Amino acid sequence: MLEVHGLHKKYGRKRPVLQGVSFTVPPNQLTCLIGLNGEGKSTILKSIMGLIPLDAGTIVVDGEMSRERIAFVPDLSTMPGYMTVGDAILYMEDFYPDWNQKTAEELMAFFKLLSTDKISDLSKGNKAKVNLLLGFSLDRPYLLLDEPLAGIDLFTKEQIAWIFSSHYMEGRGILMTTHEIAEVEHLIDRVVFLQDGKIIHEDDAEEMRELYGKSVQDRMREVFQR
Amino acid sequence: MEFDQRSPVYLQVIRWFKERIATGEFVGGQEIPSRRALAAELGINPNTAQKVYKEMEEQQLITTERNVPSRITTDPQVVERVRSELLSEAVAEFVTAVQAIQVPLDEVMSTVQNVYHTNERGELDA
Amino acid sequence: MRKFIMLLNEELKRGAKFYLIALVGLVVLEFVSVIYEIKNYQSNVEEYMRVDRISQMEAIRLAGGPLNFGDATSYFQYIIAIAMMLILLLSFQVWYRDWFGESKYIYRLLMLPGKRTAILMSKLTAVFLTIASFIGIQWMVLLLSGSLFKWLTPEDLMESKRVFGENRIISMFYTFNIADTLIILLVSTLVVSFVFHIILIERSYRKPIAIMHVVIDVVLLIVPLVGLVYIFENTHFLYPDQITTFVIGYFLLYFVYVYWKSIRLLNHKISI
Repeated sequence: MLEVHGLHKKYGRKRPVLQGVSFTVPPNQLTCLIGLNGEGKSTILKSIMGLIPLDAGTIVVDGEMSRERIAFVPDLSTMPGYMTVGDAILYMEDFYPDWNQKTAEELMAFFKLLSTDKISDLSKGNKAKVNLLLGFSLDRPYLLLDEPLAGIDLFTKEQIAWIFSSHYMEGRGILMTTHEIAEVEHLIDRVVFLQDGKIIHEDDAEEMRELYGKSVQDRMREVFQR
Repeated sequence: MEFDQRSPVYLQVIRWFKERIATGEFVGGQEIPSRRALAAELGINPNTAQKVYKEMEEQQLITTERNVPSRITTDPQVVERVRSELLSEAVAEFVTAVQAIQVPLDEVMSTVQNVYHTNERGELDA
Repeated sequence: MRKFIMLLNEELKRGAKFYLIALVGLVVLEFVSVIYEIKNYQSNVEEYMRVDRISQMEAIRLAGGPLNFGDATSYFQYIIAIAMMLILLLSFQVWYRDWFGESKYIYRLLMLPGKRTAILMSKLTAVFLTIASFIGIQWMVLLLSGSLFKWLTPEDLMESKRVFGENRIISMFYTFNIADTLIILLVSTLVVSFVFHIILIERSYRKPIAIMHVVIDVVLLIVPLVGLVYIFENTHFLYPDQITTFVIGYFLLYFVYVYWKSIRLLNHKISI
């Protein structure tokens, strides 16, 4: 279980972006963090990974306060542009003991990426695929995805969405932020609603549908139009 | 597979199985794809596939043994049960729709017979 | 340690292009400047001879005496100054290039397993190696320029007595021993550490707070040092030798503080 407790973050004297955010990401499920633009979804993911320092809050992963069991897929490239896909993979293999080369090669083939492709020359969709590859090829039980489908063409979206139905999902608890709810509705296990820097609801998606006949999007409208 | 987002995905998948069991498209004893393969084929979360299989096992629609692919039940009573379940569901929906416009029963019945026969003929011609 | 070496390798790869361009540019500039000075002097002498109709010896005297090596390399001090500016620029660029641009490599650096200290050390070492290589190459260019000077300058125009003339920089270079070179490298490393420190402060705090931190750190360096040295000199509490030792000790202590604070910022305060 990935547990997040009391995250607080303030930039200067403005209102805090995060005011005591607490929620859990269960293993082996796809949890979607939903909030309107600029509400701090990205900040939550980045602060879980230690990229943004928190004013307060703790992150516990399977009982330990260590980030080494979480992988992060941001919405931009993290490898220098002059690197090729092959270089990036070698880099990850060198630095990460939990790198799975087999997964990387499988995903490279599935995404139709060449190891000689230079990252700076790739289209936005292909860059996103590379990011996903780098994240999924780490054998870590938790994965954070920041807007994996944003601004990507239809066919690439389908390829990326395929991952969520594949065996690469097994043994992973995933926390995802996205605005493209319609595309991934049927894949989501849980939803966590963020508003005004606080978590206002956590719902099990299938329960919501079974008990109330509501889709995630319906629930979104309910929750945010207060 | 397209999903209705307002009803649980796992139930929709089970229904998909039930329809094919009822029509005999899935024969008793037939092997069904693994959870993984099902997830990939239908484009669903593997967890949902897991839930589907568990539920189908509980409803005795499939039999599972270790290390062996699951199979459709060979029990004819189960198949019959599924058929009548689907029939009852369809009828219940229909009756609700028809009662909403307050049509008397005998008119309903004769219309049903007409449409049923017309459809049948249409399928034979096609 | 392994992480440090791999990161260092990456830093060097990232900077290789600019390094080579800068190096080649500076070296070519230095050689060209030597040739220019020689030719310029020659043409001056010839012009004096032609216009004033005097002998070569007279012309040489008018041109300020024979040309010595120091005169020929008089542009070197400016080129060295340019090199120092480039190194300063590099010290900033080595960090900021990871933040700005299409990819944010800094995300990757901060998420890598292992200690973040390796990030700081690899960048520091990369700049250090650049400085050391510049110094080494400057030495070689100097030797080659000497040969070039002897080859191109006509004997009667060349001065071999006051070889360095008024050029203090070059004479300094020639009297360098290992100890002096090491001191230069140490001082440069400390300066670069300080620059890194400022960069990390800037990347960790909002502007007004960042400025406050920098001001405090600068004050912490200068005020106690100047104050105590003043007191020591006037009260004759310490011998001059001891004062020097004190200053060196203070510097080292200060930079231990800078290092400690930089690491702390990198571990706890830095934000993407």
